Amino acid sequence: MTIFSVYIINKAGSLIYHYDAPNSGRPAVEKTFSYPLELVLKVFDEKVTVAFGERDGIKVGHAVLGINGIPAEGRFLRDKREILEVLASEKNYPINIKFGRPPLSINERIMLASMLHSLFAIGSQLSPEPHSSGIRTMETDTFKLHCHQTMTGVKFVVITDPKQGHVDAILKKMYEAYADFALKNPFYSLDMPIRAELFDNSLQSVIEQADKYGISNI
Amino acid sequence: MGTDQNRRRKVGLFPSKAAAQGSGNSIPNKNCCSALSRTKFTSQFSDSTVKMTIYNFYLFDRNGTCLYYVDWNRKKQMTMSKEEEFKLMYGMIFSIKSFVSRLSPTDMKDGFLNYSTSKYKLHFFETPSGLKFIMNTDLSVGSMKDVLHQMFSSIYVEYVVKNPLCSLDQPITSELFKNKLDEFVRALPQFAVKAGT
Repeated sequence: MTIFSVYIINKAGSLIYHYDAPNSGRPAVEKTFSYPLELVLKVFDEKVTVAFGERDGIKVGHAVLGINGIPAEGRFLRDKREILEVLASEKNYPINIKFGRPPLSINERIMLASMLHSLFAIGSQLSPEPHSSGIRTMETDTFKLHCHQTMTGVKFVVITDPKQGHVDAILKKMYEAYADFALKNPFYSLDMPIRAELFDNSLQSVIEQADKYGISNI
Repeated sequence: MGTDQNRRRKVGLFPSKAAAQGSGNSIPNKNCCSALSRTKFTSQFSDSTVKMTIYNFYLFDRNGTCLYYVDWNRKKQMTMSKEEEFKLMYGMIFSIKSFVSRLSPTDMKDGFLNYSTSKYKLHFFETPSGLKFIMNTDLSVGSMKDVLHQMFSSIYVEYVVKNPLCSLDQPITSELFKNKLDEFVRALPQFAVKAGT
């Protein structure tokens, strides 16, 4: 899987579409602990996260995703018990806790989209050369972000594997899909979230083709 | 440098092959591919003559103080003052780091490396102590991580950390550091003045 996710941001910086590749699941670590829990946990952003005590692949910043197979929902478990209380009482031990990178909530996605929108603008302001565009690609050791801004200010953002080349063709195809299945849809109003089944399907097929046949052939 | 050139050559070859194979494709795609291969080839051949360049360099400490700034081939005159520019740059890097760490599908080691726009490429390197090395270059420059690391280990450490007269949280005024850094950057293969200048 080379494409992790796709975001479409309108000209005002709000998120109008997002797609996550189904099996780009974030890795999780499960471990059984005995009573004095040596990890320090804190509630951060309505999630119970590790604040101190990295060990066995559990990193600072990881969130509690579940306890004894019961998934976590925010600070609580699915059966309405508070996670920190469960972990504090000795009778619940030995206990099996699942840790992992917390999944992005929709609110976080909206925030990240508007963040990218402003980073894009600052990127062109700080240019040492005149007439620079905004950020086109951004590289890290785990992923590469590609951004294509259309003439009307809509941004198509694709997050891929860092080795993935020629993403420009995919971005163009996505723009085509947007023009054909979102803009030509009489029920779609401009700059609003895209909810069109045909658009979903065609975006899906662009991504599948890119994955199956390699980027250069689409 | 040899491996870097090899890599670029491979990248240059790839689109042309793709264009040859995909000759049955729709016309806009074919155009896109051939245009791509043309630009790659020109950049490959002009590497040795004139094309790549380094624009400027920023060094920030962990608190956001700009310890050092220098520019070489910078054309655009900024409308804002230097202080404002440093603040904007540090703020952007700070936000990019947080942005990237949230967006990453897996745990990161080095984090943010570089970004590019249509005109320049920004390279970033951070030491465990929070020093941030930022360098803006031309688009044709590859990874500068090792170069920035070398600037840290063989220039900053040697001429600032080991200099008893330099305080580590104040802007660097040492002439020796300035000269050594300038010498080092001018000797880099990525530093070739553009044809026009």
